[in-house]
Amino acid sequence: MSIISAKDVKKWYGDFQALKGVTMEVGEGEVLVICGPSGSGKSTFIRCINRLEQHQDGEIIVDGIQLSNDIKNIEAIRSEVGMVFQSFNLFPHLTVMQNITLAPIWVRKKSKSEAEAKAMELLNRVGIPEQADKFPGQLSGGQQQRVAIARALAMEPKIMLFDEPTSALDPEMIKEVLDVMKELAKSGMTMIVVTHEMGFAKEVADRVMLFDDGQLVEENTPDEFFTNPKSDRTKLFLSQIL
Amino acid sequence: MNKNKFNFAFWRDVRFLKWAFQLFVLFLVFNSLRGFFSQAVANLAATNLPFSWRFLGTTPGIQVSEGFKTYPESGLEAIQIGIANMLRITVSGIFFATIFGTIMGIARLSKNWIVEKSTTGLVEIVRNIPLLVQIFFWQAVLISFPRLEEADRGQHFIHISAKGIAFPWLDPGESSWLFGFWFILSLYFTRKVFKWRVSVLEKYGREAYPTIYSLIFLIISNILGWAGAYKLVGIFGYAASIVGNLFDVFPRIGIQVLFISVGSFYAVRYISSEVKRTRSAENRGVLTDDDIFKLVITVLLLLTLIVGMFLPLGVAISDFLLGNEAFFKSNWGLPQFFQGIQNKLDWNYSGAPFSVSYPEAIQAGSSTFTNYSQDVGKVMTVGYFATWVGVVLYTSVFISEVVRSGIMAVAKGQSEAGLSLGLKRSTLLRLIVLPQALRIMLPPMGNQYLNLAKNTSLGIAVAFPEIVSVGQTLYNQEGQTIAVFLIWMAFYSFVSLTLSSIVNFYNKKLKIVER
Repeated sequence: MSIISAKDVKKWYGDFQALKGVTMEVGEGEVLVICGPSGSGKSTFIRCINRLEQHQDGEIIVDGIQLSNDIKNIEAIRSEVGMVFQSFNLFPHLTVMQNITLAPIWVRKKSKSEAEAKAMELLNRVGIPEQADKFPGQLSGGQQQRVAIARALAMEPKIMLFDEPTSALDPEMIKEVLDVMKELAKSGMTMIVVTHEMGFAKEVADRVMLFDDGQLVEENTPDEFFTNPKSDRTKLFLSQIL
Repeated sequence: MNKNKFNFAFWRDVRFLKWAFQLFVLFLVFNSLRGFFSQAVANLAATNLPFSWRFLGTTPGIQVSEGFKTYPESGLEAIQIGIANMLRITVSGIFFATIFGTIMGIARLSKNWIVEKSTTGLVEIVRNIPLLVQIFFWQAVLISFPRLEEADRGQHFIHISAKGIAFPWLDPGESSWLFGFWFILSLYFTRKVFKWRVSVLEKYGREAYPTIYSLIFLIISNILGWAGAYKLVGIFGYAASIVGNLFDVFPRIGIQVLFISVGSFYAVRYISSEVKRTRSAENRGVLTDDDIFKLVITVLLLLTLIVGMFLPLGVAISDFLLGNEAFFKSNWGLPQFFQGIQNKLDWNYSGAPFSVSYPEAIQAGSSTFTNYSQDVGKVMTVGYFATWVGVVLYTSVFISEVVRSGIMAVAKGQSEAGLSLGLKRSTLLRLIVLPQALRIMLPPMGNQYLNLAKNTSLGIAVAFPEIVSVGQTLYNQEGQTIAVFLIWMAFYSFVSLTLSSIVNFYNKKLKIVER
């Protein structure tokens, strides 16, 4: 039973073709890690899944809804799909608590007390309940990213997308974010993670994919991917980063 | 031994140098001011025109072409007319320049090619031509319309001629101030209603229709107000009359003591906050030379105030505030001020607050010329039109750039994060983008408001009688150049400081907390 299915997805930026026909499926509860060199289209692809980028050809079906230009359709999918960005993108003028409760109140029409109770629960889960009343600018990078994860989870999404969540962090802070993500993966969340953290891929991924030049080059289980890759491109990629 | 370790000449001591430099600068400033002033006073005395404020009280015998009075009875009243005219353009100018500027700024960000390019063209043209040239241009536009002829006499709805633009206007009734005050109060409470509905939405999580509720409140409260509920506002007039009557029993010494105690209060508060600050952990109770300098100046200022309140100037100010007419001939003073409020807001007033009147072209006095009637409708004169359109257009293109840069400066990731949470575009704009853009826009916006206020002085070029133009007429008449310049400086500083303190207040409110 696949929750996301993409069929021959193509995307151009002017003359440059960023996605050259990507076909893939993600099952419910599956953890998928996407890696690849920069400019390979991996970020573009996951941004197409919640329509931050618009694909020009092919089709994407998320949780039974096909992505189209219908605005209601797009908003429905976006509230089911949480996203975590490389640069956190917390709202700097709102407190941590307000950051997390904003969407549940305005999109899900929850009451403030209900949303705040849920937010406290999530802050406990990501390990920073004491920071609830601070502003994002007062937190460290790792703490900010954990707030961003809590903010996405507050919408109770069925799918979580991670766009290089640890690339902007100090080495010391990477671990605290990865720990939260591992815990999330083990709780059965459907996740697509674009990352260069191969340790994370080995430990929690159900499948690993390699993107290169806008195409899906290899799709494999983590064991096979790291020990016995099918394509030469994967071997080259692994030899450069490991 | 220990002494020798830091043995160096005192003129190499940083602390000595700092103090010496401060005193030297103070000496320079004081001396040059004294020099300028005594030179000016000597020059005036040589031309038999000693410095004096007397012209403020005497009838200047000038005619002011526009304003609440044509023949001012005193120099002060002439200045008041100029101030009123300047403020008319400034206040409405700021209002419209903000609206036009915001629209143009957003239009320049539009994805619609025609909208974007035409706005860009307009902005580039307007901001590259000197404002004075533009004001002359708008004057030329209006005076190229046909002159008012005998054939034009009679009532009109809207009429444009080389005399100006005449249009219908609301004539105030005796209750118009009451209703105006009611209207402002209703705006305040409309805001409260909006906030209350938003809090309901946040608290109980159900749709609470803040916009609809507040609009309905605004409309109903003003219908009630028009129908006569404005009489309730009369309570403020009554309160004002009580306060005004207090001054009758107030002796001069009361005002002097009041000033001195307010001054001492702020001086003591400032000193104690400074002392507390230097005692805080990071300063460890050490007063730097700058701190001592600040404290010395504060004490000196306080002493000046205490002594000054009993010198002629302080006595004059006290009498002025008491309405004793000692300073110069005037009906201005605190008692008169409160009496004025009571006169405007009397709950015995009744009738419709406003009635519509239409402009009419009539024979001007005993001459054969035709002019618009002063009593009905409203005429936007050539001077007002040229100055107003000039400064509004000129300021709006700069504001449009401020708005554009403010919105563009909000990182794209902010919108993406909002969208990825499923927020609607309108909610995203209101809760995420605008609060951050406003924070960036506010300081440069304040600069534009200040520019607009100061640029109204160009009205003198098209004979619009704002404060510079009136002041010039006055000193041509009376020869009191320095006094008029002091009034200009004081007035423009007052306006600028008021505007910038309002902007600073909001700036502080919107500030984002960083680590």
